[in-house]
Amino acid sequence: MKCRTCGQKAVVNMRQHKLALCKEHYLEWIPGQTERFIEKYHMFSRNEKILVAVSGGKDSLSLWDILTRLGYQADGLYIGLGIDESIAYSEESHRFTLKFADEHRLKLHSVNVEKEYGYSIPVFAELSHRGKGRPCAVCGLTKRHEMNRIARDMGYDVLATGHNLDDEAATLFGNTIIWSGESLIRQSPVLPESEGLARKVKPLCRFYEKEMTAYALLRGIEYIYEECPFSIGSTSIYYKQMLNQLENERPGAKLIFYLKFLEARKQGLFINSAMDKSSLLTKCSTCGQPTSAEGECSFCRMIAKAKMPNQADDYQ
Amino acid sequence: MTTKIILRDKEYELKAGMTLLSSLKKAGILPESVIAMRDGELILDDEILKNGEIIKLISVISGG
Repeated sequence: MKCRTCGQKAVVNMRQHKLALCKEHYLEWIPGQTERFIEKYHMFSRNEKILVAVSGGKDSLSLWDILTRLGYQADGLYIGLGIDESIAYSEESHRFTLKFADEHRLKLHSVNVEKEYGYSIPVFAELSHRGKGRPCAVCGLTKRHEMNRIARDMGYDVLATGHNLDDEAATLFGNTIIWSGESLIRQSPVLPESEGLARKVKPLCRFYEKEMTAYALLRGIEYIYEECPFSIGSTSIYYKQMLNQLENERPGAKLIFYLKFLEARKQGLFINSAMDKSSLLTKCSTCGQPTSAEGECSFCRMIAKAKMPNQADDYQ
Repeated sequence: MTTKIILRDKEYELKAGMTLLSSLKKAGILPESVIAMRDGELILDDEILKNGEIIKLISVISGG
């Protein structure tokens, strides 16, 4: 297969775009497309300060790489989750993130959940009895809380995450099979800032996961290849595999699924579900972040529950 | 006349001379879920796998 631009041997073939490219032109194409999506969805400008949530994985490190190559002011945020039981997952992912920041001379903020709040994510999950044996719900809640807190406290205009199209399509599929209108209306390449909430953007939301892996490999970005031990057998991975089966038979199916959803959302298909709770948000009595609950937000309630004396004693 | 395909801790020994796509299908691996590398270079589905070579597959799916 030949590169469409120069006719040299192609190393990436994107069947959904009927486009094959060589290494050189692929490494140009990805940042070019990212720039196009940033502009199309009005994500941010070059004058704004961006905080990139980096996990040490292929997507977030590639996003950081792309944004800085494009000339954006992008600093990194690493959240240490303390998932180091069966394998040193957090330790390794932090090492890859530090190495990337160091080699590219980029500014990285690191937060360690255990140092900040007393326990690691797996321990918080056990203490707060959330998530049916998996810490994923606690992990997501904590990351959202911490990303927003740091973006606001440190004066960033926007928070960028490395979600790719497969992440978005899997989430969309999960929300669609239960017709969760409230979740569907909140899924977007950009979530605008509001009182107490930083603007959130997903500049990679139109790239397949395979394309981001190819970018990281071709660019020589070293990332954590091991899976989070808690994600093995997760629903999101199951949905991704299922959507890949579909993609295999029908190239472009994932992309159409996501893009047609964005179109429907823009046309107001989910508007009634959105009339909703965003106007009813109040300030958390402990941390001050917006919450739909009365009193404390879910994160502060989780912390309080975990720190109840009879529970915490077991983990001293 | 065989080719070896490695994905994480699994190894598949397949007949050489087939395309990557046919080899992946034979091994029951979804092409969408992996990237194939030969000597550190990315290769595409239409590549013919040669006798004695080892192809490393990189899984592209991550959770979380």
